[in-house]
Amino acid sequence: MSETVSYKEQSFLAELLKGNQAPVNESDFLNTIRSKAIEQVNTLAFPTARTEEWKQFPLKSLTRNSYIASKDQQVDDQDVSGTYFSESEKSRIILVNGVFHAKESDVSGLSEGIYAGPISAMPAEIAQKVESQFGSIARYDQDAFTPFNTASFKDAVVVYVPKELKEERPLHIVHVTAGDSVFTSPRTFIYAERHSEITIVEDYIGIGEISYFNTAVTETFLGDESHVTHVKLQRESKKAIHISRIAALLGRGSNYNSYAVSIGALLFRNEPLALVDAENAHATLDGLVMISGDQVSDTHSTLDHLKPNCTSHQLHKVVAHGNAKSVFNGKIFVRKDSQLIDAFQENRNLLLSPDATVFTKPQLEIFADDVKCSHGATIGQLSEEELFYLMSRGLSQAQSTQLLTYGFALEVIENLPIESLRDQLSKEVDRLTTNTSLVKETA
Amino acid sequence: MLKIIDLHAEVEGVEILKGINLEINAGEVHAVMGPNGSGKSTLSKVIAGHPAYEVTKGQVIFEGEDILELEPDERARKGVFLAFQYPVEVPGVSNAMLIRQGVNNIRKERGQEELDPLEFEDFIQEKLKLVQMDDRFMDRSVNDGFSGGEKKRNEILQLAAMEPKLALMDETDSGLDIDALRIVSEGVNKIKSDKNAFLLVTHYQRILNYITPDKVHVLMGGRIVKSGGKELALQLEEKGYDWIEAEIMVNGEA
Repeated sequence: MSETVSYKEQSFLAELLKGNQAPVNESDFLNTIRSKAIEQVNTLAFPTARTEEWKQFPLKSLTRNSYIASKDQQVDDQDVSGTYFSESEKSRIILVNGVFHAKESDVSGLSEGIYAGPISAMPAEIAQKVESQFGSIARYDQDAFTPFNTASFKDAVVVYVPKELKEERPLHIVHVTAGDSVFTSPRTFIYAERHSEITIVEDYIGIGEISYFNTAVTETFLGDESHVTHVKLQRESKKAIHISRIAALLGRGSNYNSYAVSIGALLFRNEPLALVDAENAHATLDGLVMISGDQVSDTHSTLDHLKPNCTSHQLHKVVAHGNAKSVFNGKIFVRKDSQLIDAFQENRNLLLSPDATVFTKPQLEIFADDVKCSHGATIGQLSEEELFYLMSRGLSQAQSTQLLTYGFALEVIENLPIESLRDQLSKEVDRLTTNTSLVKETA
Repeated sequence: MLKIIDLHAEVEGVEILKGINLEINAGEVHAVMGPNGSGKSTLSKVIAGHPAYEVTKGQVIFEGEDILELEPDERARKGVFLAFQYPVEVPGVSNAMLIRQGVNNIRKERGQEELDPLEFEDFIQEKLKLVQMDDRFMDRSVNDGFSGGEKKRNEILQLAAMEPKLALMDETDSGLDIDALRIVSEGVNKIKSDKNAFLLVTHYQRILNYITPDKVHVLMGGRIVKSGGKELALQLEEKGYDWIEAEIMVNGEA
């Protein structure tokens, strides 16, 4: 009996893939990477309860469900427009179940020379560059989730920024999932030429309270001296399972700022990976997680200093309410010849209820001897003194909790370079802190 | 306005207040003085509703109602304000956010219109002048990175904004230099009216040179052992607390 179950789990992704229909008439490049990916899905092991890196993640909740391949769907504007912000009025891409929606997308506000659209339509001279890196930055070799995405994505989004170009407008990419019990595979590739600059917000949403399974993969290639700010905003349906990989390869003197903000999904996993593989580069891998109910958040990050003279910053903040559970496992590698590295890592957790739990494991692995690295973790509740101070100013307990939580989250929120987005997120703080279990506590 | 009857309070099982009786009327300033550990700060915190203290006996009647069962925010909305001895730093929450929300809650309770951000800006300007604070303090996180003197001025700014009926000032003078003490005191004197009352908790007589009390109470060992006029403060300054202790011994009350 147990063997049957384990067999089923082992082949979970391979079984799903059978129901998937790859788009027809694809380029040779895509044909090649797809067949390689399919082979990997069939051969790579699926993590089990004994796999160290997946211990805290309830994979059974995924494998006991069955999902069907998603199809393109029309969605009402009003279902999606709640995520829009005015700064990206003419720099927005909409994908539904991984399919590019040209009619709802508008990138006319982006500077000339930028390409932002499906991989199938990119110009030949861009294709050459993109194809040289596509798939090689997401170096997650231990399991089949990444090849599963490669094998099953529909329209991968490609963003190409030519050299010396500084794009002022943030590009908003909205990955919409529609339809119950589907699986989708959003895929994005960002190529920033040298001395270019761009801010990209990737937004993940579901239409209605549906359950679905998402594997999202984003790769970013940073040319020398380029600046890329990447905001991942995960606000999936509260029944969804979301497994995501965000990888970046940094060129000399480049600056990569990644902010992963996670609010939605029932179970989600984030695996940011920064390959700092050239000198004088800087990587930021900040995270903000705000969860309640039975949500499970799992962040496994890797910051790999492969070359000397670089800096990195990782602040991962978690607000956990209800029965929510958060896992943080952050690895920083400083390789043998990577001298003069300045790396900062901190995981701070705020528990708003007695039943919320947090597991944290900041890890430094340093093989060089002349480096400055710090790491740490804190887990705490709102302090009685702070609460009393605010309440003595006439604020109710709920208002005080809300304000203090906002203050806690602000350290990440205030770095997001888009004002409307900061406003949207402060409303999310209100929503989280005013949920029912808090009222119960004060009653 | 405030009537405290036989108030007993303890923290972690240790009794700190052992039967306080005190009455304050509108328009009055009372000073509570006493040596360290006498229970002065506890008294102001208990009136404001600090959760760490447990009241085991007695009543605190404010405007005819026993407020001991009320939450701290309910007391604040009824018009009780505590200026903290050690104002709490709240990173990420701006002064403007905190004070506006507090002021609006209190205004709502009083049946007044709430202030929108622009109206609030006008409203707070004159209060800022009262304590000679720059309006850039409004955008800064509450007390975060403030100097000792700035924190105390910020307390008086909040006091001015909340317009309480009863203001409890817990050692507001401690750690203030002469200039800051003067600014804070002048602010209090301008806020003072025949409609409100002040309870000043202090170790030293110094602040009473600027804010003249109507009554001075000496708190020792959790009880008010002596009450008098403002001259009592001067006596304490001159002779310390020992002579009162001796006086109690003679009367056999110790």
